[in-house]
Amino acid sequence: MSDGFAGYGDGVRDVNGAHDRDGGGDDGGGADGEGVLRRALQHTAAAVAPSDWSAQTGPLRLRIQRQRRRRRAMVALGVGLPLLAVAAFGGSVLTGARGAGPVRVAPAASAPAHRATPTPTPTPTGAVLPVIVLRPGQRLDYGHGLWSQLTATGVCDGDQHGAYGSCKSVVDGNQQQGSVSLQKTGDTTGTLYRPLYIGSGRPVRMTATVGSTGKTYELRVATLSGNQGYAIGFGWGPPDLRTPPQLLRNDVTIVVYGADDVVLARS
Amino acid sequence: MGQTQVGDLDFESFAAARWGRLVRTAYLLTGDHHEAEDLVQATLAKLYPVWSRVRRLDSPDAYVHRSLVNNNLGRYRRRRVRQLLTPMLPDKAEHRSDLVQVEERSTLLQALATLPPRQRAAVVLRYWEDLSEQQVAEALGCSPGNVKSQASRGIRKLREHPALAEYAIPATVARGRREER
Repeated sequence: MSDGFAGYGDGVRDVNGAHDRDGGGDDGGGADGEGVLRRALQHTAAAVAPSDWSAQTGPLRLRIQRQRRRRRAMVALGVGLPLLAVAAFGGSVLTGARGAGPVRVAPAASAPAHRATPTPTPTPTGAVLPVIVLRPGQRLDYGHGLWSQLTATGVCDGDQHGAYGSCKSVVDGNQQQGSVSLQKTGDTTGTLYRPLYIGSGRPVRMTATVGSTGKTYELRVATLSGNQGYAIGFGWGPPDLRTPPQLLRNDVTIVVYGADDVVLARS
Repeated sequence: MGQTQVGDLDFESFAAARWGRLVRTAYLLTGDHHEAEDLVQATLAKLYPVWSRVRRLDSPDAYVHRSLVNNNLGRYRRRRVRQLLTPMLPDKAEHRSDLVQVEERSTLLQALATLPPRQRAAVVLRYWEDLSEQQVAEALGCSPGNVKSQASRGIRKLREHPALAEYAIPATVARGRREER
């Protein structure tokens, strides 16, 4: 220790009554160094004159009220999104299967409350639906038992029976920034398109164009709150009735759009 | 203040009793009086909804310290972004005699500002709040060993800063004082 650090610290009592302790002499700077630091801190803190507490109660009350309103709004948003989805799709009656009748899926009300439950979005190109914002780990149900979960590091897909499931990291660099990949699954009644966009853009909509039919479907976008650097799209199309190896051939083009229809990525 | 005493306090009494001390601690953490009061207000506002649970803890003050430090670290992260986006540097203050006291006081704050935020919190809690290494560790959510090394590094770094020179006395005088006891 330098000479300059021999301190006054012994026994100094600070302005608020906390006493000095010089016992910790092994703390790097040594007892004298601590004493000097304590004295400097006391001197600096003592020079501050906090506002009168009575002047704080009003602003504090307002802040608490604001906080309550924000919390209620967040809860309402969590409950409102699934309801909004149901309302938007008119009780979840959707078209989709090629030449088949409408596909009816379980109503959102049957899903557990912690899940966001957009009903399947078949859909020829039409109105753009708002982006769904999820909490990390919140399950997004697509109907037909299929779901996704988004976290800060990736997206997991699965089904209610556990027969199907996979997770894809969005931080391992396997998918390039500014690109889109496609996950596709389904059954005899429909095909779920679930593209993944990784990049700094903020997608507002995605489309899937099926080469074999030439039809373009508007997909809905889901993301985590804040810009986490990725987003997924989802939507149901007609069932893919091809058999392998044609079934495995990708004939779907995904386009990711940002605000003002700027193309952020294309598969 | 002991557990029973804190347990008997309602939120407002607790907040009123701690206000001044917390503002000073926040001032040492932030370096700005207004930001310090805002930080303490935000911390108390977050404390209010959980007060019935916190007042029954062994050490409600430890909870408040932890909350204060975490709120400040969160602000620090947001502030870094804000500062990067600031287009112009503020004007230099003109030199006036009534500013001298403020300048002297702020020299220590400048020194503290050179420490990383967690190291600064460790130093402030350890040497201003006079908490034990264990208590600081609980407030920072790390091990006592980590607190020890953070505080040690903090002191070592501050020692090199001229801000602390005015609080120091030559070693010979200090030795003399110790021999007198």
